[in-house]
Amino acid sequence: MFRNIKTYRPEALIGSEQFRSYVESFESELLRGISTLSALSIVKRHLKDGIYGYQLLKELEAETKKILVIEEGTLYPILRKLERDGLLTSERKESGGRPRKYYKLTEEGIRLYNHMMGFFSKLLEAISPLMEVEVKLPEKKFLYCPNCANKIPQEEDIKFCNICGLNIEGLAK
Amino acid sequence: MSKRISDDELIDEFLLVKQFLDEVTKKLPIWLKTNAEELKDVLEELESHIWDKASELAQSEDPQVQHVREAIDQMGNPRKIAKEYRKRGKPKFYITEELWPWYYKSLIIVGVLVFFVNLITMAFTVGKGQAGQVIAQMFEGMFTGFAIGFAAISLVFVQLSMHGFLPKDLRVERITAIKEPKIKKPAKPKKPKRVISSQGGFLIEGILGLSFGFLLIFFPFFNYTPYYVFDMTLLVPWIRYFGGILVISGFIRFSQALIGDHLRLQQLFLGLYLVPQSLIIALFLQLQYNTAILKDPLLTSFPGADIGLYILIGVVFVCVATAIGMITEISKIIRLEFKGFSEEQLRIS
Repeated sequence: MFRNIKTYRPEALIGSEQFRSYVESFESELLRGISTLSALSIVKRHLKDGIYGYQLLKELEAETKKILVIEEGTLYPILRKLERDGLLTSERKESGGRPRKYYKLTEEGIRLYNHMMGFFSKLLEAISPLMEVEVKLPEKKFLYCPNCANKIPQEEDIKFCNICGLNIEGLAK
Repeated sequence: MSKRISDDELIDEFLLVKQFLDEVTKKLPIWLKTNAEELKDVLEELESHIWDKASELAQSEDPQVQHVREAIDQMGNPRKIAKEYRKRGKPKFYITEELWPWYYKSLIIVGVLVFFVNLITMAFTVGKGQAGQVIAQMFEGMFTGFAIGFAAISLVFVQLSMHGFLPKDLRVERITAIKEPKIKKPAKPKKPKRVISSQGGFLIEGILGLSFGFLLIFFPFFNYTPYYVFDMTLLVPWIRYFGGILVISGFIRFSQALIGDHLRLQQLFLGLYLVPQSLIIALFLQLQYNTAILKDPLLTSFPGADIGLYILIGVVFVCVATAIGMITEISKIIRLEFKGFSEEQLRIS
């Protein structure tokens, strides 16, 4: 990630303003959706008690081995937008001597997250040959709706996809 | 930490945090800055994050200036943070989808106002130049007005979209005093008040307009001017023009009766109704400007009478009444846009 590169030789390609701005813009576009999805993945782990921003960032850093870097200040507008869109709900609690805002996924948020995650997983799987990487989806654990790519846990006894309504009974269980 | 004291008393690390938060606040969109509760929430969250980070950097000791400075550095640029808060709404041709209905309505209102202003202007210039020239000036005025209005409204809405405004931020909340609830007998449900006349009302207006209009156009006694007490040579065509205007008005009202509750067509015909009304103003002003129509013949028949004053009073009265009528029509177009056909129900076709 370019944001992590603090020193470089002036004659290196990254020293070129044009190159740097082009790649930074590409990274920013690519990261916009991924950051949201990654943040939601962490919030989903705290369904009961919720999670506050700083804790979320620390977990994200740890999980992605500090590769995925969200500029810290921009995490909060993302969380606020998700809250406004009805995917998250928040609650103010005092913790460690500070007022903190704890975020939790709503029912709708869980459904949307499963769909977005399913779509992204299938997309990664589809483009993996182009990038010469191998992506193996946990298909024993989850079923990906063949119609809309919704991610459905295999252990749940669901007959129809809750996003597109496709009959998934008997599909790869 | 929400320890806030005056700038002079603030110790350095608090001052740094305050400066950073002030910088973010400055760049936040207006809709967020004016919502005190939401602003406080946003700033508290950012502040809490900075102290968390600084404490971590200080390894659980009291954070020092350098820790706070590093924590702030990692927060990112205040401008970029504030910019993220602006991202609201779905972009659609530079204006967010949420603001499109407002944009559309604003254009209609501006369009109607430009139309109205130009008609009034035209009414006052009738008789002061050639008819073709007056009409050309009116169309030129309309075109310029529409072009300027369109550009200005578009610019405003693009800016509002870029700052993440949503329709709810543009609505003015009505603050009403809390009154003791009075116990009332349950009232009979009232019929919702209509913004425009009923079909029956339009039909009556239409029939009256057409009947009186045709009556004035074909009034048979006009051919027998010698029987009248004064010369009607110029007044007869004037009355026929008036009849023609009444026919146009009646035809429009009749059409409105047939259209029923079709929002856009009703708005169109309400707008068209402004044309005969502005012509009425022009026609009555002719009585004032062209004394040969009424004043001179009457003065010949009634020498010494203050005919000019009576005509002036009559013309002013008709013009004012007609202008009020035109404003009412415009308000109906606007109310239809925002409230639909009934004041109590929201309905847009």
